[in-house]
This record gives sequence, structure tokens and C-alpha cells, in this order.
Amino acid sequence: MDSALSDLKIIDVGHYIAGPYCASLLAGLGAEVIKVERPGTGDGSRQLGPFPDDKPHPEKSGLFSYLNLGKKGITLNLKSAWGKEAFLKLVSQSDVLIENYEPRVMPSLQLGYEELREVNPRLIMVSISNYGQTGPYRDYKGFEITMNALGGIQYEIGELDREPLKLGGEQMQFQAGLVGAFAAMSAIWYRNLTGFGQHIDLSIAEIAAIMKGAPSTYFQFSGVKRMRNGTRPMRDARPGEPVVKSRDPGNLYPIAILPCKDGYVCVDTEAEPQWHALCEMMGKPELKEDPRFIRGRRGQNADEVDIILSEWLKEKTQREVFEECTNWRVPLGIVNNMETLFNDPQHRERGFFTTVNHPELGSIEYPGHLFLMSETPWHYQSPAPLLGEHNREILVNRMGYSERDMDKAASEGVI
Amino acid sequence: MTEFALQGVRIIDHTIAWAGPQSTLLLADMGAEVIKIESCTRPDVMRGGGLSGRRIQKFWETGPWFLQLNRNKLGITIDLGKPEGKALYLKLVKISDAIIDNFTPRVMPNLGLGYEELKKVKSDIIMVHLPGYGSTGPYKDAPAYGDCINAFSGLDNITGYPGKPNMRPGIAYGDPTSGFAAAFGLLAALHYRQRTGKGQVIDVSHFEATSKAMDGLLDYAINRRIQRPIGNSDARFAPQGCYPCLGDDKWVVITISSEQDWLEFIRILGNPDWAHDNRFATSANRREYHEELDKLIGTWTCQHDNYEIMRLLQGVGIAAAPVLESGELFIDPHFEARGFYEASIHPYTGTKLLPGTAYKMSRTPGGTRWSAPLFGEHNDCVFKDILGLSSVEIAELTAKGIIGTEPSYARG
Repeated sequence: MDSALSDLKIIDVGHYIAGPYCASLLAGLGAEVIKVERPGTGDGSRQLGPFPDDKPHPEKSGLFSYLNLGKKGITLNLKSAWGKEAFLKLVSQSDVLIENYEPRVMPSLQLGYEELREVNPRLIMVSISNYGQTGPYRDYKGFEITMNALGGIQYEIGELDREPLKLGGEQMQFQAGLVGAFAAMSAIWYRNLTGFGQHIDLSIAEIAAIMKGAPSTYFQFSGVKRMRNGTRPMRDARPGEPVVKSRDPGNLYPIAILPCKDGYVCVDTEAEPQWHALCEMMGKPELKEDPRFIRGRRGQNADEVDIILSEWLKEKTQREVFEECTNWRVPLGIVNNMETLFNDPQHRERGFFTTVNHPELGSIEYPGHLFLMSETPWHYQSPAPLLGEHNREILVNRMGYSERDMDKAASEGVI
Repeated sequence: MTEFALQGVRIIDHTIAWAGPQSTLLLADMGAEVIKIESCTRPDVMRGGGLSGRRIQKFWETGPWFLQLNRNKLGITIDLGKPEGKALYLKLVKISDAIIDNFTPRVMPNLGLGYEELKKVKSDIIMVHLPGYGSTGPYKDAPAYGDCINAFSGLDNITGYPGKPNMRPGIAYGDPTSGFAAAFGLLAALHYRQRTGKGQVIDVSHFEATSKAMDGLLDYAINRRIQRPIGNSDARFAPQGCYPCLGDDKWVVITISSEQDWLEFIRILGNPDWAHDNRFATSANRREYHEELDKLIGTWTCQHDNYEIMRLLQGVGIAAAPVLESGELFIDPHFEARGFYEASIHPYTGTKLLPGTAYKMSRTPGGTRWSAPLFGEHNDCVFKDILGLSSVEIAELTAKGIIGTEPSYARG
């Protein structure tokens, strides 16, 4: 079958997560992605695990091998004249360049957008950085937790009487990569219409502020800030109300993470009929009329709601509860851990995981498609590249450097 | 004339709530013509009534979420349950590039508007579905909200204090994530259509879009090890944490990512005696005694303002940021300088600052052209100017209740 983006040529000069993930999404849809790494050490994520049996090895990083599926890899020292010349030649033949260094890095190598545009006016350059290419924090340092804090996500996670928490994992890095891929495709559409390339300046902090949702908008309506509330939501405040520090989870309750026989589930009834269905399902229709649990009161009596639900849940497995809830149209999620997520029947049925054989890691099941496409299915053509694996294929066969050039470059540490 | 990246792209948008509107917001901000379809009986649930109750006039024009997610879109109403509504809809399909919906998988086929039917009207149409779990598989009919997806994707499980997993993530992570994914998928399909003339169906599952970003799956795939929550700390370096500051419930996050960071950090703290304790000599030591160290760091941070700490530490190259509250985001000097929050000027809600796009494009910057549509605001524009209906025809459709400018609940 055909691929959606098989006519596109991408350079990935990114490192760690956001840039490489962005490029890997384009690779999954068939674009040719050439990953340019520093000779010797390569992408920093090669030093990050997980490694088999926790033994670090630059060709055995699970993270690197996931984020760079389907790419070709070359090494170039971008500080050397030769490396720069080869890089610019590559740029002249490419549609999109993706980078996620701190904003000062590419210009300091004389490889900023202005320079690259000279070589290829049709080029789309995607620059992903923590704070963006402008603004007072531009050169500040940042990590995933910094983005969670600045984007307003952290403030609403955790217990009220403890420190706020970041989301588990590296969610903002990944989602910045995804939005970068969207922005790149927008620019491709425009370029196909007009012939003009452009520079995309994407800020991970701003991704976080968007993913946070509407509380900052709510605040402008009501002046009330939302608080964290552990495993429960926090009630939305009404206009004119003072700062909320109650633990009242609000009228939508139960939205509750509770234990069952073999793990946890999240009951998520956000409409009155769903609460009624839940009562019927538990064989307790009388709760619908119970004054403690009528609309507007369940939040204040959340502890009692939890007791009733837990009593019912403790005899049932996650699967039993989920199936019953589905039949009754009660929204409920199974709280997966990474093991049960890996084995989740829905993922298995839809072929979410894709097995790729890596020369050093062996056969690994990676998260595969981001979505299903009927005509142009997601497909990774190869495992992540070994460091410099495609130097010869790209630099000699395609770009016309001689074997002598290659040997010389290698001896000088340029490739 | 300002140019837009997605000029010439027309999208029919059936979506409500967050994920779908987030997706078409990305497209509309880039200049695609997004026609948002509601019906008098089923307005977008985000239109209002929740925050302000139903007491105020035209409460359905006042929802903060709706305002935030629907700028730059054309808002129309069609009752798809009626034959005239369906005919009108098919006229629109004929001149559109893509359709996006977030119904459960049964809805569009039940209306006689499945892909096979629409293809007969527009052979290269692109159709994007955005159901919670996807249109196939054992969960396809299960109802899903954001918290269900947070649970299934593992996000609840890996978020928490050390030893205390299953914290509520505070955001409906699957909504923006799958919205971004749908927008990207739609453009990829459009690109393919441009080359081949072929349309297709894209099935975006919130569950899959979120699972794709779970790097903890790799450790399970390779070592059969299950990721546990580690609070605010980091597996690579220490300390990293969230510390109390001056003021009521004010916090700062700090990451010490190298030995140089550590030396600068303790210098700024005024070289307290505890900083030279052997327990804190290396990154590995500091990880081991993280909890004690956090308490000691807190004795310093609690005497300072969180913004002040950010400036002090970032001044010497250490990552730090205040934990911003909802009321602080749109006044942060950096977001302000970048113009990230954009003004929405709206007849019923006044002027509000809403999150803009997360990126700037040098040639086609996009930005707010108009605020979220009033209910049925663009009926005339779309039905008259785009579809070429006469005023008489529009009046007939209005009289029959096929289109309208007030939700049916407005009449009691």
C-alpha cells in the first residue's frame, strides 16, 4: 500500500524527545527522514534507557530506538567546514528540517533559518524549544517539570496539603513533537500552493498551557482558581465565590479512582442519567432518590459515595466492572499500569503495537500507529539507525562525495 | 492581504466538547475554512450553562471552553435527522475537503451519512473520526470521557508521589492529544489526496494517541518492568522537585542537572552547612537522600518569591520556574511578550485573553480573526454566500426548524 507522505524528505537534527518524535511521526507516514547526529556520541537519548538489563550501550537505548524508528542515520560535525557544507547540501534537497536545540544553537553554527533559507527558499524549518525563539525566558533552561509548572498543569495535580506534582512521563515533549508535525504539514500545504517555505517557532511551554485546558479562561470569568484535589476533581467555582480550598469535588461526582478486586478503576459519570444507570447497575435504585445523593449534593457527600461504590467494586475485577459499565452506558476506565497497557485487549485487537527487529536490541514491540488510515497505513520501514549507519548510502551514493572524501572526513572526526 | 497556510481548505466540523474542537481550532487558526455544525436540539455542550447557570441572558453564548476552542470557525445549524437537513448537508459535503466528527462509531452511519454514502457525493472526501477508543475493537461502543482515557492510558498510574500511584492528572490529557493527532492526520491525508486524488478515512482513538506518548511502555517491552511514579524527581539527576515559596500555596520547581548546577545552587543558597554533607556529595547520593534534601531546600525557598527564585537560578543557568495558577498564566511576562494569549472580543463575554497557537509561523502567522461563533451566526454566510440558497429558501428551512439561531432549550 501507498504511504501518505512518501514524497517528502525530512532532516531530523533533533535530540532527546520532542524533535525526534516529531520526525518519527512523519517517518511513520512514509516520509524519508535522515537523522543527523554528532559523530562519536550521537543523539543524547542514546545515553538514556531503558537498556536491556540496565546495561548502558549507545546502540541499545529503548527510548532512542523508539523515537527514531524508520529513519536513516548519518553523522556530521556541524562545527566543521566540511560537515557544514554537506549539511547545507542536504538542506538544499529537503522539504523540512526539524531541530529542538536551545534557540541560540543553530544561529551560532551559522545554520539559523536566515542562512538555511538562502540555500533552500522552499525549506520549512521546525524549531521546537522550551520557551520559543523569542521572549524574556528564551535562553532559560527547562525540563519536563519546568514545562508542567509554567504551563499551569502542575498546580492542579496532587494532594491539597502537599506539593503539586508533574504529570508522569514526558508528556509535553511528546505533544510538542506532534503539534510540530501538524505545523510542518500546514507549511507544506502553503508551500505547495505558493512555493514559499517558512520558519516555525514552537514553544513547549505554550503546548503545556494549551493542554491545561480552560482554567485560565475560567479565571477571567469568575476570579476563582482551581485547586488540586488528589484522586478527585475539584468543584468549579461560581462567580463571586472566594478562593476554593474545600475538598468538594463538585456536582459531577463520582469522578473517582477507586480500588476493585484486582486493581483500580476510574468511575467517570459526568451526567445525571449516568449516575442513575450506575445506581441501577449496582442494584441500588433507591440511591437515585436518596437526599444525600441527589444532584447538587453528591460532591458534599463524596466520602459516602466512595464507600458505596467501593463495597460494590471489591467483589469484581477491572474487566468485569468495565464490561458491566459498558453495557449500562456508564463511563469507566480501567487504571492500566504499563504492563496491562501493553497487554490491553483493545490495543491488541487494533494492532497498536508494531514489532521491529533491531540489530542490537532484537525484536521489540513498540507503540505503533498514532491513528489508523484506510488508504495509507502507518508503517515504519526500518529500525532506528545505528550511529552513522547510512553515511555511505546518503553521502556517497546520493550526494556524490567520493570514498576519499569520506575517509578524510572520518579521519578528522567529521563523520 | 494576509495569507494563511491552509487557505482553500474547507472542513465540515461536527465535533463538540474538547478533542474535536481542539483539532479544528488548529486548522482554523491556520486559515482553513472550518464550518462548525450544531443543531438546535444538540448545541455544543461547552456553550455554557455550567459555569454561570442558566439564569443569565443567552447563557449558551457564554461558555469559557466554547469561547476558547472555537475562534475562527463559521458556526451553522442543521438538523441532520430531517430529510431537508440531510440534503443541505450533502450540498456542503460536495464542496468540502474533509469531515471531522467525534460521535460514537454508530452515529454517522445511522444517519445515512457514513463514508460510503458520502463518497458517492464527493469521491475524494477525507473523513476523520475521533471516538474515545477507536471505531473498531472490543471497546468501540464503550462511553468515554477524559478521565476514562487518563486511566486506560496509564497516566493516572504513573502520576503520583513516590509509593502512591493513581493520582488524578487534573487535565483531560486525551482530548488535546487526540485533537492534535486528528489535525495532523487530516493534513497528511490531504497531502496524499493532492498527489493521488484519493480520499480516505482516518480513525483517531484517544486511547491510542495517548498511549503513543507513554515511554514507560518501552521498559516493559524490553525488561518487563513496570514504571512506578517518582513524584517530581527525575531518574537521571537530583535534586529535582517542587518547593514551597513565600505566599499562600506558592511553589517553584527546580532541576539540578549537573555538578556545576549543584555548586552554583549551593552558592546561591549561601553555602549552608548541610550542603556539604556527604549524603549530598554526588547526584547518586542526592537521589538516595532526596526527601531530606527536599526539606532542606524548602527552608530556603519558603523565604522567597517563586518568580524571584526563577530569576536568581536561571541567571546562573539552573532550570527553575514558578508553578503558575490559572490566574497567573495570561499575565506571565514571557507569555505576554510572545503574544501567546490573544484577545477575544465577543458581544456576550466581553474581552478575554485566550491561549493562542503554540507556535509562530514566519510567513503565515495565523492568529485570531474572529471569536467563537454565536449560535447559528454564520447560517446566512454559509447557506447564502457559499451554497447559494435564496432568502426564501432559508426562511423556509428556518420555519421548518431545520436551521435556527437559538438552541431549543432557549424556549424553555
